[in-house]
Amino acid sequence: MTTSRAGSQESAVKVLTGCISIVVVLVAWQVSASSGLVDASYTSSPLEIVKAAAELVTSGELAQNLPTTLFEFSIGYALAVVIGVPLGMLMGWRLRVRQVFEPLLYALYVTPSLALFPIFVLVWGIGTTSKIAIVFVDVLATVVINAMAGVQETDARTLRMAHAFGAGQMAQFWKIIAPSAMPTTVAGLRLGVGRGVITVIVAELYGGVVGLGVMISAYGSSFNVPPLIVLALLAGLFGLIVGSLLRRIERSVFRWE
Amino acid sequence: MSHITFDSVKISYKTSDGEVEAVGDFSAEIQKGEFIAIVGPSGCGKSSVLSAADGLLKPAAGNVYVSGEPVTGPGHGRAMVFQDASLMPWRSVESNVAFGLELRGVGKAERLRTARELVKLVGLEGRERSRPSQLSGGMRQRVGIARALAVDPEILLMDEPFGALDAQTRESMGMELLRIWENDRKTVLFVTHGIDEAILLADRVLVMSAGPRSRIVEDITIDLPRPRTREVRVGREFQVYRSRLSNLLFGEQDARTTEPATR
Repeated sequence: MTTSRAGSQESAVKVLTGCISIVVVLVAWQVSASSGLVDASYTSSPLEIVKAAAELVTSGELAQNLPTTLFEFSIGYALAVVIGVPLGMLMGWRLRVRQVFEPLLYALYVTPSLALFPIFVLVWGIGTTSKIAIVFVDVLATVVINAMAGVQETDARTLRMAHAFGAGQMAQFWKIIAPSAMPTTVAGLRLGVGRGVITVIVAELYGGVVGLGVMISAYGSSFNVPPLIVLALLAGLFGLIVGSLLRRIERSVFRWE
Repeated sequence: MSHITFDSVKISYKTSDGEVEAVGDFSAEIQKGEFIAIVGPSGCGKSSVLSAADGLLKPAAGNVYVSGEPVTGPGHGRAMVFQDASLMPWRSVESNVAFGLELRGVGKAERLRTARELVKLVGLEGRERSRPSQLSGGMRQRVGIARALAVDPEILLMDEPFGALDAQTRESMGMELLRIWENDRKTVLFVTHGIDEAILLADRVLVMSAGPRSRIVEDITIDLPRPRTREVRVGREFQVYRSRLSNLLFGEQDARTTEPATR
């Protein structure tokens, strides 16, 4: 009890000190912008950004664009998880499957997927589908590689134990390999969120009709800095929330680590 | 008919230098209810002999028979206790103990009931829901023993189960094991490198020579009364067994490597 109390106090202190540093930066930023110390047309200022955010919300511009980006990300990400986790685990478990898919996946993992984007656009057009596809490809590689690593890290002694107690191949997979691979697999899901968010927005920058990336591209080319920063912050915030949600799940489910 | 028969078991390993014959010719007859200790220098293949008895490892030649049937793979009548306990860190104590029953398709309520009884038997009552990481080494090993006992095997195979524990814990675990064993006297094969432990626990000690091509050099019947207590160790008989075993295990080596005393 006392330790968890001390722990929550400790984390409260951590949050507080984190806030202080942010506030200091914001105040310094505002002061230097309004005093003319820096050129506010490049850097904008916290107050301008808040104003721009309010405008993006009230004008309905955000409501028009955000759902598309979220949709593209969510579908691409979900497909990558649904296919990537089983595929990665299978690759870790079965040498033959690994031999077939590993070169392809590593190639995919290191290739800047944006290089492939023009092809995706040729195939699926400039709309939503090509973005889902590119998010899928990018997240898939991350998810597969981590799920595979998780399986390969399974303790051989635990497997031997299961075998000694009469576990067949399937029982060994479901009762030993899959649970012991979960922490690394979920870490891969978390990394995948970061990659997916970056990819969907950058892909929209390339070309599109609606979406956060399209807005960023538009404001960027008209040198309208405050909404640009709002959108960048929004993307960061989204990644942060989903990422820390997954981290929370990791911590509560995989307490044995 | 003997319960376990080792019939000229040979065990070899493939290494980068080719095939090494670790165990040369291991033959032994073990009766039902006997507590057998297998001792030998490290690397003599005593753990491999145990693996062969469980069917985890196929002998290069020879056979192991249990109740007259050749061993071809892990089977229902046998259960193994491992040196490192080999618990599943993501499962609670009771769920670890229930693992063998789970694999045999025993229903959840029943297997948890059995598991809790055994958790109690090994002295871990109250820790049913703990995770292995919250337990000491000795406690983890108790869980390993409970897991093996949960499937109610006829033969208990123990691979240096107390090898990683400190001396004091090790001794109390040994006494604990004897207490549990006295309940129903299962056949036990207990691999150890501890001479005292072997004498204290076993009815017979099989002494293996150093590898490669190790074999049994001596089969010593330990004629000490049961149930045994710690006090048995201070008796003269115990000391006689101990010096005989240590001569067998370290004698020649000592003569070769130890410098003459300088006092």
